[in-house]
Formats: sequence, structure tokens, C-alpha cells
Amino acid sequence: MTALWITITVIGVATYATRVVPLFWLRPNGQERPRSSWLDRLGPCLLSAMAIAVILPTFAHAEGSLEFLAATGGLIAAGGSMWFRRDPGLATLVGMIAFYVVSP
Amino acid sequence: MTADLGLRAGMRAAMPIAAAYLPVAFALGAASSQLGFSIFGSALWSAIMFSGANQALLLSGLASEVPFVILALLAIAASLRHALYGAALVGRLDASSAGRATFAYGLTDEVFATTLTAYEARDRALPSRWLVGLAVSALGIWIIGTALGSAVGDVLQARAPGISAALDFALPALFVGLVWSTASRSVLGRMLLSGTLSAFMIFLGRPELAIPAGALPALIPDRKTE
Repeated sequence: MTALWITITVIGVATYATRVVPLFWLRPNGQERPRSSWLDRLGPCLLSAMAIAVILPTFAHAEGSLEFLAATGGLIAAGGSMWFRRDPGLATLVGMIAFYVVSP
Repeated sequence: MTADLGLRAGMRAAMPIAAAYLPVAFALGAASSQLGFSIFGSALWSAIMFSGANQALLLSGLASEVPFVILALLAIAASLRHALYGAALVGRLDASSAGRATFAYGLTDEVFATTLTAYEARDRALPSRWLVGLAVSALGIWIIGTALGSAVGDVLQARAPGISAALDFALPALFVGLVWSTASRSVLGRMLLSGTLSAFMIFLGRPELAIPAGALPALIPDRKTE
């Protein structure tokens, strides 16, 4: 059990290092370094890739057409919610409700 | 406007993440109890690692009796994507060293996406209080969710599978909202290309490369209009 907790701690420290080190590229006085434009584009590109990585398995694991329809309906409902009001929290709730209503 | 980016606003911004995290944390907590973790052990495990992907990797690796060293190396390799998140956010924060260090502990995929969306909506650097409110709330929800999962996760799955499935759908729904918030005409083409590359990697059976591959379109230079 000790070896397991040492492994957990090593992974935790390494994960934190990957998260914290780039954030200290910022100057201590809070002024921004001039950013190259590719860094401006990196965030939205990553977000798009992450969305696909999260959404596709939902369809891949759907058992039957009704689950597929529920996932499609949930995504459309979440998008529709964003169309009316740009609130990701509300869209999450609306998408979940639509999925629950349609799912078998 | 300051109140809009205070501690409470950061905590409120974590609520959609809470909806997405609870089912995942539940599932991990339930699985961890099967491996001999107590409720406290499950919570501590989540507090130390705070990474659904790494925690799932550890669980599956333990079940398959993969050596600890290999598991650690795989988890560290999988965590390298976080460096991209930090690089994307670094110029979008107006936080103290302590604020950045605390925020970094909770810089998961979803926290990154929420932070980026908040920046794009306000078009100004985000302060420590908002960042800490967001990251610490997400961490707290994750820990509580794992502990609850360890205690009652199996019961919910058995007695209310419909609710359990709807909770699982929170993450896809959340990402629809986050992508919608961030998309703009200037980056839409690159975002579509990122999504296509990500899908391609998944279809190739290499999901671990989906996010790094999706970063590549950011390197395409702007078309010069002069």
C-alpha cells in the first residue's frame, strides 16, 4: 500500500508541475509578456479538440438508436440554449434534461 | 465589474463543472472502493492527483497489475498536455504568485476551458480571487464527489440508472456551451480543423493524441491582408 501512495504522490507532484510551470512565465508584477498570436489561437483550438474528445465517445458507446437519439437531442438542446442565452451552466442543465427525457 | 470577477463569481463559474464532475468522481470513488480504498483514502487520492484521466489510468493499471513505475510514467506523459493549457492562459491572467500557484493546482481540462471562456467574454485579464474561487471549488467538488462515490456510487448506479446516465451526459453538454462561447469568426476555421484532427486521432484508436493534435492548427499563421 505504501508503494501505491508513493506512486500517487509522484503522479500528483508531476501533474502539478505541468500545470504550474507555464503560469510562471508571467512577470511577477502582473504585466503581460507580449504574446505571439499563436498563443491567442491555442486556447480555442484546444477547446475544440477537447470537445470532440468528450463528445465522440458518447456516441461510440451508445447502445441502440434511442441512446444515440438522446445524445443528439441533448447536444442540440445545449446548443439551442446557448443560442438563446450565452450561459454554459444553463446549457449544461438543458442538455442533461433533454438527454434524460429522450433516453430509454 | 470587480464584483463580477470576485471569489464568489469564480465559485459560481465552477457550478457547470460541478454538474460534469460529480458523475465522473462518483464512478471513480465507487471503483476505488473496490480496490480497497476507504472513503477517506478515496478523498485523499482525489485531493493529491485531481486528474480524472490519471486516476482512471491508475485504477485500470492496478486492476491489470501494471508496475507502479510504468503507471507513473504513463500518467506523467498524459499530464504534459496541461503545459499547453498554461501556455494558452499565461497572458490572460492578472494574478499574484500565490494566486497562480493555487489556481494551477486545479487547472484541469474543464477549469482551463471555463477560464478561457470567461476571458473571451470579458476581454480582460482574470484576477486571483476569481481564479482561486473557480479552481478550489472544482477541487472541492471533485473530492466530495469521489468520497460520495466511494460511499454510495454503486447504489445510485443500481437503483437510478437513468439519472446516472443523465449525469454522465453533463460533460458533453458543458463542452457544447464552452465551445459556443469561445468560437469567433477569426478562429472558427482553425477550431473546425482542430476538431477534425481530434476526431481523426480518436478514429485511429489514439485518443491520447486527440488534444495535442488539436493544438496544431494554432500554429497556422494568419493570412496577411496588407
